[in-house]
Amino acid sequence: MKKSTKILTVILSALLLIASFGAAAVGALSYVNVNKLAASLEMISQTSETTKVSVKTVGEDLDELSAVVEDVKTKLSVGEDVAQENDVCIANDYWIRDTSAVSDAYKSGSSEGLDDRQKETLKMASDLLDKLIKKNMTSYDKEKAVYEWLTNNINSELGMLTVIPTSSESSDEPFGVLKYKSAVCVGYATTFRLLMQMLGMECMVVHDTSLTHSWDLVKLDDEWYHVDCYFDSDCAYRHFNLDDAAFEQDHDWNKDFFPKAKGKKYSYALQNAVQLDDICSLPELVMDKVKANESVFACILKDIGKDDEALAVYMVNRIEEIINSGSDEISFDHYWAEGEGQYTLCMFVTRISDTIEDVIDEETLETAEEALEKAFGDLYSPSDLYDDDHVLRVG
Amino acid sequence: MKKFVILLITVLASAFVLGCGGEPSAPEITEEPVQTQITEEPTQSMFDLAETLRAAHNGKTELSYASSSDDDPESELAYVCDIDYGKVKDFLMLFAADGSKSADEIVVIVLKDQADVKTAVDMLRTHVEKRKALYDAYEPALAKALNKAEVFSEGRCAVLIVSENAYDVRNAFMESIG
Repeated sequence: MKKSTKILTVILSALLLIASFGAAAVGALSYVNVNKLAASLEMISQTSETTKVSVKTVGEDLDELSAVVEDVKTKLSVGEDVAQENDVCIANDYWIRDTSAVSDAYKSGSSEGLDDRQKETLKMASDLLDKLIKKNMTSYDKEKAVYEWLTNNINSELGMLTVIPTSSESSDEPFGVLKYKSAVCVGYATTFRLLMQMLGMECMVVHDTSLTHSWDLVKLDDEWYHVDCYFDSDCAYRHFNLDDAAFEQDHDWNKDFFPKAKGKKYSYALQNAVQLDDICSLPELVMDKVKANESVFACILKDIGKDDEALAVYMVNRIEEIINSGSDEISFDHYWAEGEGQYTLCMFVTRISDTIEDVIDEETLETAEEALEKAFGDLYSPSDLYDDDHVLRVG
Repeated sequence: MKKFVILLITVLASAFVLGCGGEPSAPEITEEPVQTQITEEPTQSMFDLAETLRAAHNGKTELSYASSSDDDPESELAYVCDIDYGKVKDFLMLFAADGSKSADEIVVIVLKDQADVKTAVDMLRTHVEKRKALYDAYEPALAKALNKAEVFSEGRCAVLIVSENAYDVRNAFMESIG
């Protein structure tokens, strides 16, 4: 690059940086020293004014000057929500980075230009897709296969909650996620996006406005859907293919920047919805689903009047109250989806910790109980947590 | 006449010299209040103070320890307070070793200049807000502990306490101030 071009680049970068933080231009400042420039840019950025900065480069190393501007830019992007997909820092420690170099290489069949780390990522991701993707799969089938693999095979990390985070290395990028099978939310989101984009599907990583969480938006049949693999690592399909209205229950993001998600067709809950004719049969339906170990289910209420609507709201709120106050093992939540002439009630059961049935099969459990009964005789009593069929008691 | 002039010059010069060095006590007087402020910091070492606070905290979860004695103290402190490290004299951090089990946290930052204490306190408050947002998203049950977080200043210290026994921890800290 010619020297004059470099000077222009540095000045433009500085102007761009300052302009993004304010409203009105208030004059010109001039710097002749790199350290002074860095300090001043940071100081100016803490005000809400736009300041024109001209940079005198006499005797200064232009590369160093460019590095200073980039460094200040990076620092400023930490802690402030920004209307962009990549180069966003989550929980002060994890970076959402562009992964298109790897997905482009997969699609073009050429890894030329990739560094070793990217090449290794490409190999791991390619091997995974070879295993997961079968002929004649639809886009939805492919998305579901990738989602299920990530939620079943990657361990979610909560090391980010420790004051000085303890998450394993690279758990925020596909390289570390695929290699070490451990991820923070950013790792799940960027890996899901990488695999979707390798399959030629549109996908974006979304971050929340408080910069504490990230997830994906994926496009199926021209409609966008939210997917949060991290949150679903202990409750499958709870956050799989939801629209904006459903996702707003527990997420907040910049809706002006990210595309609107209005799709319902591929919502996991809605796909399996059953018609409910009698609202008073709702508790029985919920219990049946809980006993059947189902996490996500929905029912459709058609042509209901105002009284029935009030009763339905009362009933589901009571169910939520009873389960959540009566059981330490599971929690229940729901949302209402409105459609043409009908309401759909989507319900979710989260298993807070593994139940005994998750780690010991029923037959072994029965054998263990028999051994206990045989040894302790009159002292023996069945476990309070399970009924005679070894099914978790609720409420 | 010539002798008189020389004598006069000598007397004036002597008076000038004496005058220049004749008021050495004035700066000492003005420094006295500053010396009073300097004493408002823990009298124990950071490690000993951490052990005192850990005992007062008496929590069920294991606490990790970081301090100004560590290899990269500037980076460690930046997780809770991003103040210019040149302004920090000492600090200690006690925090839940597993953040997914507990949000407990105790931070004491000793500033070199009292004028910087307010900045540090504001940064600790911001840190608490960010932690709340993080726990609200991932472990809402633990976020309640942060609603009771105590952030305050004492002398040249900025302090944060997130503990079930915050009252005892605060008392233990106050007793450590000389």
